Amino acid sequence: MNLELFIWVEAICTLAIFSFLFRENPVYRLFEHIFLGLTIGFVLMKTWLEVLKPKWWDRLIYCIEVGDPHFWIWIIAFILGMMWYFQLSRRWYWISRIAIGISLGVGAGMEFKNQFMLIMPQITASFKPILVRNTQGMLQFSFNNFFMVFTIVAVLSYFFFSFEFKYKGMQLLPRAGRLLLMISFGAFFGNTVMTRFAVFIDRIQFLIQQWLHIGGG
Amino acid sequence: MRGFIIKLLTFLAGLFYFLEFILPAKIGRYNNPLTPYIQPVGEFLIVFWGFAIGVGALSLMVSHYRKIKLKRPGWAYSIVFFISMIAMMIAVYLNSTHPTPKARFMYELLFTHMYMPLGATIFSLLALFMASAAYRGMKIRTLEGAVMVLSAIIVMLGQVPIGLWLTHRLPAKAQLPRISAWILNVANTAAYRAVIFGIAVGAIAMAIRVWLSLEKEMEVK
Amino acid sequence: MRLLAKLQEIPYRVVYLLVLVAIVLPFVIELKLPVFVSNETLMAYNTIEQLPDTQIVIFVSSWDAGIKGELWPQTEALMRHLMQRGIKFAIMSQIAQGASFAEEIAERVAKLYNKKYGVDWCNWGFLTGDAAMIQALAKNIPKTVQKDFRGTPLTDIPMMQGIEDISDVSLIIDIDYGPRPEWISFVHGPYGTPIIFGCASIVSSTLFPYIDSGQLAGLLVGVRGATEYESLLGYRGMGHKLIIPQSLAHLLIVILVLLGNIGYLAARKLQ
Repeated sequence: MNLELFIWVEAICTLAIFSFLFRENPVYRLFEHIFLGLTIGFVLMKTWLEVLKPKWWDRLIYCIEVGDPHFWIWIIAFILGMMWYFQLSRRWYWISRIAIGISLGVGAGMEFKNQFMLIMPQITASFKPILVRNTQGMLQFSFNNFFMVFTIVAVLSYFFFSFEFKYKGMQLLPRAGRLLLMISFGAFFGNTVMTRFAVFIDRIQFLIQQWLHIGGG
Repeated sequence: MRGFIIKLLTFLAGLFYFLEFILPAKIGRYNNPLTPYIQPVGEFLIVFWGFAIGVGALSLMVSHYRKIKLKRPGWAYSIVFFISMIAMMIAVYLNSTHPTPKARFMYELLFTHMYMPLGATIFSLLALFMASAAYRGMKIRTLEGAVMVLSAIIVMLGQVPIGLWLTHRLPAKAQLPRISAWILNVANTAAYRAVIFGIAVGAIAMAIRVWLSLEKEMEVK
Repeated sequence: MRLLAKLQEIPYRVVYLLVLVAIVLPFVIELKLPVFVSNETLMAYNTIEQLPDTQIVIFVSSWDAGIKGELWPQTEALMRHLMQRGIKFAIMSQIAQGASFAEEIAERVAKLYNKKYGVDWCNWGFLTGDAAMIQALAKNIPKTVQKDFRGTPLTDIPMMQGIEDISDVSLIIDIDYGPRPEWISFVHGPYGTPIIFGCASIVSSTLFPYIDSGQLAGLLVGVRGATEYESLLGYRGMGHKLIIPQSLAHLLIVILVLLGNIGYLAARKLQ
């Protein structure tokens, strides 16, 4: 009984949103606002139950109960956390800049390690042997490696704006880089189509098989 | 004065992680003094950023409350927003703390059978527009355009079973899935790696500017 | 030639109808097509096949309802493999909703393999903090996580006994619309822990460089990654259900693009 009710509710929600494909209408707007409300309610309660309550409130209460002198750390966390909310005040907006500043500072400080750890292996992986010998498929490996090294250099040269490429011969490399970049953009477009259709097909599959019981599954 | 304090706090906040990375793990007999504090500082920041999550929600609630108060067009929808928000909060709370069958039913109804399909369907709306846009927009006018369209076609067909079915009689290396895999693993990898290098340089430059509060937007008036 | 030029003027409603027919058809008429398993999916499969069962896996599920079509089948396939091999895993999420979706999938899969919560898998819930949280987690898991999403202290969960830091973790799986490279920077880089990403197809192009450099131990790309993984595990799940209509939709898009270009070239010749 519950399952039937759930399926009908899911179908109504799906069709209400799909009605937007004809034109914007009150049913779509109603369910859009329901979705917004559900999202905000879920995020707020989950943040309290899984982040703030166990990691801040319970710790603060415990520290006060046992007389742990470190309870002041969690008071400071609360004060700094509340500073975020001054973004909504025109007069006291500058207080929120403290929280934003700390957040940006932490992010910036971590970015050095982040980029170093991410990029150094990329740089070393770019140095590939152009001639691969004594292995099966050595022609293909050699070609692939050469193609990769050439593409990296060509695309980097395309984004190099510090000086002008005066001679025609020098202009060939950035032009090749632009062409090779187009292969990447084409692949990106192909993947975009894949994602958009996958989520659409998932909804159609639900309507056809689970709601209307057409076809197997 | 305010501006100076904010800039100082920004710098100090970043200095911890920067120094922890720059200083070696061992200096003679001594270990990096900052490494033992990674975990407690991380814990603190989890709570700090946890509080930030409510800002967007509060802003939205204020906006909808004003709409109801001033009876702006569509104010009834804002009431629906608040009702569904409160209903979900109750459902999540009861399901987590007092998981009775009724609480479970309410949670399943609101989360699994309303929130999930609504979210999935909203995101799926673009698919049909994408089909129409691809048909109208992907016209071969230049050599670059032709390369891009060809690459898109190979990747689109090569990544789904129909690509293999269409070309299964060809030699292995000429089959669409393998050509698609080559495009993704060789051509795309190399091109995007070059882009990553550019992004990395930009990210580090931006990080320095933000850390030292050199950005104009960070001025406090 | 005039007729050919009209090929670029198919009304958008006809395009929508053709797309719907292409998608609905495989649900009415069963079609079976061969699945090609890509290298990056095979790498992910082999990585999990070679995992020791003495350590745990951290299963980061940070996807939202909007991308359910692509990432639900991936999550299910990977969880099936882990449970099949008897490898314990802990779910967590960097967004509020993610852990709840993963919890639902884990409960369904656990029934198939007779696995118990707390013994074979657990759910740490939602953890904010991005890179700072990741670094803290790597140093000390019980202190950073503290309680599971039901409020049970980690020290009371049987599978978490003896799990202290990243050295007790054999693998990190991050299933997300766009998985965060911070796992590579702050976990794989300093500690060498293998990472597998599961992502939406749309962002997959940006992650292939990490496969080439060895920073990723595997990559599942959208619904086709899920289908490939299901093939390796030997079952036909949601991935297989979605990939066939996907195939026909892609073929239709390619035909429409070609028709559009034929029409465009014919129109140019007429001018």
